[in-house]
Amino acid sequence: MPLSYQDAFSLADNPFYPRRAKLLGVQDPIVMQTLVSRPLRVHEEASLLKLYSEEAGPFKEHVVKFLSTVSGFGYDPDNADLGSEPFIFLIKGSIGSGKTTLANVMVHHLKRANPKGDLLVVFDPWAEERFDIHTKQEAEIEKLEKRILDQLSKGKYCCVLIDNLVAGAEERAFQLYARLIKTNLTFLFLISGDADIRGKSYINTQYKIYPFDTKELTPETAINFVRHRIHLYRSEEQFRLPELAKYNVFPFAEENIKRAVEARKLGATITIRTLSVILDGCLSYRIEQLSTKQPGFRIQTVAEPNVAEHIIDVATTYQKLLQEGWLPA
Amino acid sequence: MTQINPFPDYPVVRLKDDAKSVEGKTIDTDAIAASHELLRIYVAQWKAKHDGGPAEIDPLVIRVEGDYGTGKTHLLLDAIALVQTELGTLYPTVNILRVTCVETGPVEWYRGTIGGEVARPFLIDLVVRLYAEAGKDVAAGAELTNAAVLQIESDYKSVYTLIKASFLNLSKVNDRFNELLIEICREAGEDLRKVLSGLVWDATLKMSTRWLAGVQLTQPELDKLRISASLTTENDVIDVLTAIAAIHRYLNFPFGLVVDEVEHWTRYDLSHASESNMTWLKRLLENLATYQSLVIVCGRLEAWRQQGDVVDRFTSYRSIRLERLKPETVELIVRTLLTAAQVTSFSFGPTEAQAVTECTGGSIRRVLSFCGFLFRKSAGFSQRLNEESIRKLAEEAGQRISIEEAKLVIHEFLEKQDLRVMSDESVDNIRFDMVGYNGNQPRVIVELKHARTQHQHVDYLLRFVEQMKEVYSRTPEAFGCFIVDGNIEESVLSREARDLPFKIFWFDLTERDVLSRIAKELGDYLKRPSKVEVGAGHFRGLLNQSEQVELQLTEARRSDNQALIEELQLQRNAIELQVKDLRAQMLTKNTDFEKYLSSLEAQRSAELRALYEKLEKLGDRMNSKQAVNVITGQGEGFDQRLHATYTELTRPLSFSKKIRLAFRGNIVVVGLYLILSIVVIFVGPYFSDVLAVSVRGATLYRIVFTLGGVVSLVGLLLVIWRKLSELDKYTEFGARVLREVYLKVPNPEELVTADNILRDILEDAGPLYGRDKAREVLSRRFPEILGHLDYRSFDRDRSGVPQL
Repeated sequence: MPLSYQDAFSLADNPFYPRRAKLLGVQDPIVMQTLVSRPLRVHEEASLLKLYSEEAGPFKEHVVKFLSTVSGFGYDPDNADLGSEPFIFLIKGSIGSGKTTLANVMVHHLKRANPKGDLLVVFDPWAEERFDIHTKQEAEIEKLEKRILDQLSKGKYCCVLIDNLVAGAEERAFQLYARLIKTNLTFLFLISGDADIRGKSYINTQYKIYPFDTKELTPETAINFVRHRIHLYRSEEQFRLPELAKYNVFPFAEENIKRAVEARKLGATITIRTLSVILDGCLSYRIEQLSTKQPGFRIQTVAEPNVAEHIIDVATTYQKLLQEGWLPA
Repeated sequence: MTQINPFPDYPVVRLKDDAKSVEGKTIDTDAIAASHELLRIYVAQWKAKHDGGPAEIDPLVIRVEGDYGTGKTHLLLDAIALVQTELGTLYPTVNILRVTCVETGPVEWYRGTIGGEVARPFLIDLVVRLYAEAGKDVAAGAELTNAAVLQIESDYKSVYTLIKASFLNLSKVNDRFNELLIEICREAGEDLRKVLSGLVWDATLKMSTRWLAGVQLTQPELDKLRISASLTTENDVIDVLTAIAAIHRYLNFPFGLVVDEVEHWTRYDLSHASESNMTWLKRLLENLATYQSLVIVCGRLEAWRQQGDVVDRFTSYRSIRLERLKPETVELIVRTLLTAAQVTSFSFGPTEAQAVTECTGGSIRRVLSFCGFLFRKSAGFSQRLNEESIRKLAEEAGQRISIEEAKLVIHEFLEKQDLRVMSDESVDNIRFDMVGYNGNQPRVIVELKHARTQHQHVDYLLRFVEQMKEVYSRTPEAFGCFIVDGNIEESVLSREARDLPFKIFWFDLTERDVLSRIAKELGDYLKRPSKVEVGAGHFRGLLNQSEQVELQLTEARRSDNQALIEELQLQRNAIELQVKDLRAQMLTKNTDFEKYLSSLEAQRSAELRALYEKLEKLGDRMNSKQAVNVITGQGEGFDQRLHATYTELTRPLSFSKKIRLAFRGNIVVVGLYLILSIVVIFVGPYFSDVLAVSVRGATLYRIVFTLGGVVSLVGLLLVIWRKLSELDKYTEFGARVLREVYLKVPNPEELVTADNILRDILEDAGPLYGRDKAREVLSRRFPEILGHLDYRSFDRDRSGVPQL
């Protein structure tokens, strides 16, 4: 029987791969699936906002900018008020850098502007689907357009998320927008990690596009992310052991995380997804080690001078994971 | 004489042969020594680099020139073997592309030859290794992932696992990979870079390899790769080959390109009064030389002489010249081979070597072949051969020529006719002894056969005719040359063209001066453009035109240009009309050909039937199967059915047999049902009067009986028709299978096996369900030839005319 996160790390659950829906107050367990590598579907399940770390990148600035943009046209999430302007938002960045989560957070705020949910309808048809060719995505956009026009009565607000946008399909997405705004106030979210789209500015398109870029982690944003998750799952406000209390993100150490993520060449290379997967691997590896070698282990019972031994060096553990074939499938 | 003859009868090697096969068979002639000297310097640099020496390596570009039969291809294989042996253990991969020139421009040449080479797994592997380098760079970009560098170094394919597990940033790896491609393949355009990137992932692998093979991609394929066009220009070809060399250099792997028979290119240039091919070659060599490559370009003497000014451009490169053998080299060769074969006691000195050299003209091929003959005639050179006896034996060899010797002579002769000659070559999956190509098109198909009996001769001959029919259906300009070492009845072996739409020359090796006649007849025929050839060329031209118009039409539709669409549609209709006319003409020719074949087959069948009857009578009389085997000259266990020819096996079924096979065990039920239906129609009205109680009732009964009888009879006829149709489909499928086996598998036992499988399945499963089962069983039994077979798409009209 493996050790619990409580015994091993004084954590209520795995902060980077949470399994316990109730802890978060999540009603629909579907949104919890493989959270280690998937976006937070906060627009469907607001409780997941607890996992959202707005300082794990430029997310806070982006959301603030988004809210100020839409509020300038009468949208007021805090006072449940909807405005009268359509928008196109383009969120681009590396795969796993938090693009879809950011879009979901933006949609969540829009939904707050219509708390009854009677005026705003969200269409998020292929968040998990990837297209290898733009023509296929164009065909799907065409079907989506038909579906929206069939389902949506005139005058309603429409929020469409086109995730994993493939280069070449942008024009069809703009056509969809052009059709929809004739009958409905439309928010079109284009989300893409495609290298060709990432390399474009879209300043010469006929519609105004509000761009948002997500980034790889810097040492600061990485530690913000880790700190946020660890704090969320820390089961005790105060460690009984003063030595343990020194380690803010136990079983990790802030300096160790910062050094591990710091860019050496090619700029920053670690995304939120990569860091989550690796830290999840580190925790799982540590639990297995402890379960095998010290079956009755409890971190709370460790003697003060020995606490430092239980800090995980992430780079070294990553190496061990590779050497021992711990790569997730 | 117990020693093994060390001299090959047919000493011709192919550029695609296993390079190691020449190891131990290479004599240190001056040319070989010069080649080794140059290669060893090149190899030494790579060895030094492996041991931490200088990173830069001087390229090696060699021009090899020599006459027919001087061992050029052997030298190339020897060079490849040397490099691979010396460096193969030091580097993970040593790629040396080998390619033969054909008489065409660079793009067509690439498509027909090296394109297929390029699209092989070696390039995919190479590009994945480069992708792994990108993965390493990204992994080294942060301390967290640094350990992945070692992981990828120990197993470059683990880059995929790391990415899939999100242990590495996929976007960054892709970005870095694109940066590397831009940095490494400086000459490559965006399209080529995207094609190379496409080799990394399964979703785009197939279309990338198709592009690299020079295939025209469809628009969806181009879209998927995000490129604008297929490989179409000479520059594209240079860019592809240069990019391959550049990636090798970046990864520090040796790379080589060996080009043989460059005379086909110079001839193309001469016939087009240009220097484009050789100028293109020069550009390619210059590019490859900047990436540390080994390049060997080989051609006949006259090829280099004909293009003197172009050759001057090669002067910066090394040159090796293969000369006709001198007597001392002949002596060295004979002594070396005899010693290697452990022939300890032999008599062969300078005098004999002089005589052999004179008799063979110093051609290494002929020297080896002739020495093989002398070896047999002199009990392994143990008997003394003087100058006179060697000359006499040379005359004898010229008159009594073996199959292998004839093969060698014809090979040389066809080469001299400027054809690219390939031995044991397949055309449309049918294997032939030799094929002479004009450009990429088979021009002459040669089959040389030795048969023990007259019937075997005829079997071979009929099979060759069928094979030629298949070849002709796709390559109408090809003609056949069938050579046997025995007499075949004149009635069958008519050398007249008769009604054949293509020409087949028949030769008997036992006849006097057969080789000179072969040379004359083939030479004359090759010089004149045949009627068929003109038609075929026109036909192919129309097909090309049609393809072009279709492409333009697609473009016009995309741009919605109505005027252009209408104009192109008119053009297309006109071409279709011309194609229709031409096809009708070719069909007429084919019908005549079918008649001729039928007469041959009928004659053959009659002979066989007569033979079987005779054998059966004899077998009955001697009351033993063994006796029959003795009479037929076959060994124990030889099945009499082996004599059954393709014609016999595909003979149409009689109607009664069809009915029996269609209904198998139900024939009695069908018969009873038929009788019952007729009885109801004719006897029913009489019963009506008995059964009815009123006149109206009797009329009603009559109508019911008559109608019921007619309906059941019509229903039965429909069932019979359907069953027979299914049986027809099955037999057509069976005939197609037997034909494929007959044409492509030289063993008649396999033909009988296929026939047995078809018959057994028909008996067991019936015609309706049998086809699927038969297809499955036969595909497993003959995977190479029947793996593709689909009876659903079987074309009933096997007219032999290419379909548009």
